[in-house]
Amino acid sequence: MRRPRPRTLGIVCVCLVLLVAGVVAGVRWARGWTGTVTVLANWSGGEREQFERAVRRFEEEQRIDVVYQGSSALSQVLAADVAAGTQPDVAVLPGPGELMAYAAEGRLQPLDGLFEAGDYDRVWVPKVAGEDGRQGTYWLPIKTGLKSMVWHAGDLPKDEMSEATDIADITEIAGEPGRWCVAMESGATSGWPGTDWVEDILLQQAGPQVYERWATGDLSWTDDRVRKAWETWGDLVGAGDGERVERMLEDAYDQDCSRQRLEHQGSFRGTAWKLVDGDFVHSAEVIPGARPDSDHWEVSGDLAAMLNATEEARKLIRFLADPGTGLPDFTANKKAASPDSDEDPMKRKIGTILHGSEQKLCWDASDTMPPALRNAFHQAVLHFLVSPDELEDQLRGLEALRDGRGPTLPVCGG
Amino acid sequence: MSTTGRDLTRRLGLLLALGAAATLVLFVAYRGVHDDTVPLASSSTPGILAVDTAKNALQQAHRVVDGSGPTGDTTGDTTGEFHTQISVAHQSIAVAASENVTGPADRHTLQTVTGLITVYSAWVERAGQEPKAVLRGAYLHYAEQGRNDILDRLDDLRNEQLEVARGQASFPWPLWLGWGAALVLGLALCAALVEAQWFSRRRFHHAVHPPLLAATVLCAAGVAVLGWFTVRAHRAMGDSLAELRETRGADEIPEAGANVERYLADAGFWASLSEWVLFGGVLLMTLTLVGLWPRISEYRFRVPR
Repeated sequence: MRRPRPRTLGIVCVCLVLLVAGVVAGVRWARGWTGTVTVLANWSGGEREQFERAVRRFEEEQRIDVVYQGSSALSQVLAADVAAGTQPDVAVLPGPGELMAYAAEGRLQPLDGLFEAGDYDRVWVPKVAGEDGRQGTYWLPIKTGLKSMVWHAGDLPKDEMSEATDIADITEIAGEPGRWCVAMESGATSGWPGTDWVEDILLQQAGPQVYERWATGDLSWTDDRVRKAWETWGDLVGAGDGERVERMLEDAYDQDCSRQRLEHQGSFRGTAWKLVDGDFVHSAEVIPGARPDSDHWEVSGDLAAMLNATEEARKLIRFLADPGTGLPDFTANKKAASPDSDEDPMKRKIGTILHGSEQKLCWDASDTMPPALRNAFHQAVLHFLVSPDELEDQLRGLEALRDGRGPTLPVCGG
Repeated sequence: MSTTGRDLTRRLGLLLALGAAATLVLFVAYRGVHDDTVPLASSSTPGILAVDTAKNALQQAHRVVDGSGPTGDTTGDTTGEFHTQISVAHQSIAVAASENVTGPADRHTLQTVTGLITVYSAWVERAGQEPKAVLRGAYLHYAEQGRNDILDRLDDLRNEQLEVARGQASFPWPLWLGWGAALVLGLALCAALVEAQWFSRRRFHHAVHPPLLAATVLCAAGVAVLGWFTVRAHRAMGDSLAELRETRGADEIPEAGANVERYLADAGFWASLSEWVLFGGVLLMTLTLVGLWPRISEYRFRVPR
């Protein structure tokens, strides 16, 4: 066999070097991001991990880096970003109140055409007016939550006939202020667990029509029914009780609650209560003065809006609206897997209420209010816990902030 | 039959090929190190120190709150120290954002931190205006939680920035490979130039062949000088990184910044030499061509027919 000539060897070596360099460059290019999309939301801890897990497939398939920031000061951060013109591409806000204001100012990009709005009940994806007054879709529900729930440990005595937890026992426990877990600390939004209480009591005592009028600014804060809701809450949790109130104010909203106590919190607490075989009842069962036919649930939703109409942001919205995307609990997409198929009975129960009771769902009222009023509501709740006798001053202060025009979106389904 | 013409042509080809290869490899290897010196000096270091400044300012602001007695608010702060420190924190965050060390994630974090600082100072001020002790205590508790959140985010951001600085100051295996190849090619080129000098001297009875000698000196000096600058740059980056590794106290930050500035004072000059590598390579090849081409020309028409 002839030995190759040195020149041939040289050419082969050069070709090999070029090939290796090409492969290395190709692999680096393929591994790199082709774009970035910034997302601002208020999730931290487990909720953040769930979201990041959900978008990992998007990052891998699209080679788009999802840069996430979560903060309880979401509202303040977003307001500053928008004012400075450095808004994130996508913001996920809890509730539609603030988003409606941004849409009316022309800060949000319409999502029409990016996903099928008919895949969601109207309460989750209503058409709202943009800057030009034209109705459009401006947000996509990423996850929804059920409220109006009273959590309890599952080992309370059961009714012999129905095998359900004996409501009389829960009502009895609920009558003792010391048996409630009440915790107000939540960073910039400290006080929101208290606003949830007041809203829910009003919903269960006065019904959805009154609730909707109040949420949309059509009912005075000094109305007797509103005042009664505050007073009922004060009696239930023991407002004004020095040391206990101090603890309530400083305890974090997501801290553990003893199994001997009750907790008025949303479905996000399911994971914690599941550890003690916990269960929940409708809050109307334990709220004094609730209407006998009260069957409405307060709900919350994390809504994604697009602030910069980049191609990456559009792709992310399309991905999040895909029924096959494994989003954190609970999706509002009717085409997603039915909650009946969930192996976890608790999730199945909550999912079924969220999916099957559109007529009985009402937005968390403070999430539909203008930000200034909502923040004042948070503050008023903290004041009320310390000095319930000054309720009238608090209500007058809130009334001064009421904007009669109100949002035009539906607060309750149906 | 004389083979001098063919030998000279072969040598010229080899020298030009070696010259081109050595120039390109040296250019890439040199840039591989020096392209990072300027960003380390002008972006990463100020970015990291700005985050340190913001952290210190927030801690100092909270000390004002803690030190204001049992009321724990800023009403007793007659010097305005709390607001001064909050202002320092905001300005430092703006500096850190402008340095943009880790890209969009960096900016996104700093925008969030700016909002959180606003919320933090709002809680402190609310506490200052609140007559009820229980509420005042709660507001200060919320402020403290907010401050802890801010410091955690700044710590995470600093770690990411430091990781970028580490990458800039590192000397990974592709650089070792590049510099190894540059040295081998440089030595081979020098050796080939010396051999061509000897060959030319034997055949043409010249004591020295000036263009070839100049090319040899240029090659040896170029590789040596650039290698020396690279060693110095690498050492300076290592020293700079040592200054940044630990979070500095407020008093130490200016000193750390000055030290890094001193270590990397010549970074701009070192980096600017990379274009001269290509120029030097072209000069070296021109000298080689000028040295050998006239001799080859003498033999071009003596090729046997």
